[in-house]
Amino acid sequence: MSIIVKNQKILVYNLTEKVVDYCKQMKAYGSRIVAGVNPGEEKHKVAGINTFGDLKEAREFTGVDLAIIFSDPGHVLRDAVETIMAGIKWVVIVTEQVPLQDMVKIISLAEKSGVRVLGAGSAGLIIVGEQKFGVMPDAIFTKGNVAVAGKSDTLSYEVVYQLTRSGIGQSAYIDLGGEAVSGMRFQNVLQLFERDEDTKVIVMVCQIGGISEELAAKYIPVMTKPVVALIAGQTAPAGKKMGHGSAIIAKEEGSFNSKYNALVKAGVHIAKGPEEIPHIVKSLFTQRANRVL
Amino acid sequence: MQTFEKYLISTYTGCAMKIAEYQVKQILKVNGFKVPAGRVAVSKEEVYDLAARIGGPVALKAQVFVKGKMNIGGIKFAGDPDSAKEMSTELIGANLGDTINKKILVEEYIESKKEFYFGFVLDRRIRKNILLFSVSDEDVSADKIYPTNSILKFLIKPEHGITKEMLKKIFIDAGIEPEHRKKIQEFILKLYKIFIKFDAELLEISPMALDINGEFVVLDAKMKIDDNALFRQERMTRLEDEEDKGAIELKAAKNGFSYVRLKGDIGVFGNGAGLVMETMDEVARAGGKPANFLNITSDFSTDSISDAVDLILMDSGVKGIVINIFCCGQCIDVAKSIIAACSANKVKIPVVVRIDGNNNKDPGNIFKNSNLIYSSSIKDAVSKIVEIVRLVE
Repeated sequence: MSIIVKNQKILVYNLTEKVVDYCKQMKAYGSRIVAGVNPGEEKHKVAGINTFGDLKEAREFTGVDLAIIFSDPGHVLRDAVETIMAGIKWVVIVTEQVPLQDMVKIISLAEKSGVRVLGAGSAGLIIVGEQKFGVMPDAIFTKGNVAVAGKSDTLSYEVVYQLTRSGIGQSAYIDLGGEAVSGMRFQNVLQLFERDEDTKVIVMVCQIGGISEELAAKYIPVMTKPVVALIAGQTAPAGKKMGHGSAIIAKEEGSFNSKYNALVKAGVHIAKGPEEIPHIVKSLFTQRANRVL
Repeated sequence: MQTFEKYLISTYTGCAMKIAEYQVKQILKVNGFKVPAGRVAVSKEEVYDLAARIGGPVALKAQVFVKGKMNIGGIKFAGDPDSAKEMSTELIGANLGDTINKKILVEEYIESKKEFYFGFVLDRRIRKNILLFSVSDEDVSADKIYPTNSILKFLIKPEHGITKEMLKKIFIDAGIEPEHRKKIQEFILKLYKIFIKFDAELLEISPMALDINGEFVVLDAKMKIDDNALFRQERMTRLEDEEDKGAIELKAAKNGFSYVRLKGDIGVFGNGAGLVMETMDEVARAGGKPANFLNITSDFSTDSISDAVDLILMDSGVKGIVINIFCCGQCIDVAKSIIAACSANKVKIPVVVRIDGNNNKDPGNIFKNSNLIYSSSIKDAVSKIVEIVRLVE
């Protein structure tokens, strides 16, 4: 596994009662949550995790590789900037609907500092069978060689579950989040999957809006691994926001056709619905096996 | 009229809250810009009074969120109060670009010697703000993603803001006379501050006039505020015209759902934007037509299911409902609340439910004693509802 270094030390921002269950699930999955930061609060323990009033204090005690931010939308900027300035190399922003101007600042700083940001509105990432950094239900995953990336959590879970039920395991899943301005895009994640020795096939769970899919289509032709995609929103009307900040078609850009054409041209296998994905993946594995023979 | 919005349609997210022209002008005025004397009127009598008070020729401007207002007759000029009153009857209640206009901004007519167009847009493709400046209202093809020749464009680094280099380039390339440079610089810096302070995605002055008295006046302005930031822009929330929203949209907003009405007859709801869109697509693939997009969010509470059913039934065109839930919690609980919601709402149209997920202990059994149809497959659930609705017709 080369997507992320093993045994990451995780820090959780805003470790309140609301997110305790997520933290317990992460720990049960083998993730190392070393501290929480609840800005302004006294040092105390939540579900066996030491929480500190500020990052500096937390870091001196523990050393941290990855931060998960559950802060209110109005505090994500403050907390993400603090995290990036402290040199933490991965930031997962679970909080949804973060002001876009705040995301502009976070992304600009992250780019300069070489930090990977997932979200806002990201369910996080999971290295199946090893560690998870986020809020996805781990019971639907089973270990294998298909990496999944998506912009909408439940639709991606659906795809993962269809794979699991068809006996196809996954290597990893990464959620980009569905906001109009967010950190990592499909092409960044595809690069990680391409390098990852446990990943043989990649599934992109796409949806209308934005240009993440179109940018990915420029990179896919140089990849060695086959890519399957599902594109949700063929029936969505132009100019309307479909729930997610990013799910809107502005003129032709971001439309189903724009994504479909770009991905097909890049050699991506397009699925009609989540239930078709296991069939396509299976045939890709068979092709691969035949080639090896 | 030049507007940067049309060139930047690809960057315009559309989910932003639009602010009416007269409201943007209020904001600009408070922040030190000169705007024409004027006020909003809702009747021809008010228009007459305002025109009389302003004195001299006036501009009548429909307050609708439509592009190219001038070209569709949304702006008129009147020489005196009587003709202003007469012309206003063509604007109040007029259908302008699919919107019924209710308000007119009555303003003193400004004669301009020269015009300047400038503003800021949050470009989500590059995830940065850009500054745009032009002295021409030359109409460039709207197909162009980015403005060319006559419009100057600058990428703003958040840590640097507006730089001296940008201003210098504007002065030289746009041919700003030395005596106006200080003012223009001041306006650009001030506008950027407002753009950031109000969490705007778009803020433009289009145009600012240098009038015959040598004063700079804002003739028109556009502003869109980022939805996500409304919690810290409370004043903006109050400015929004809620009256334009339909009853279903209002209820959806109250419940914290996202709702978009479509043209079909099969009501759709589920948890998660992607999942709902995918379900709509499946309806279309099965030969049906989705009536709506309704996302109750992925971490919904079971109480909200009743609201969702209620909401879908408000659309009398709905002949059947398909519910698609991917559970991260207990499927059984969700199944029970769907059955309860449908019986409480006395649902008389066919409902097909598809639930699956994390803790799926066959919710199918629970539906056996209800009027609802259950399927564990999306494809199957969708084709069932399409088939039933077709039979009922």
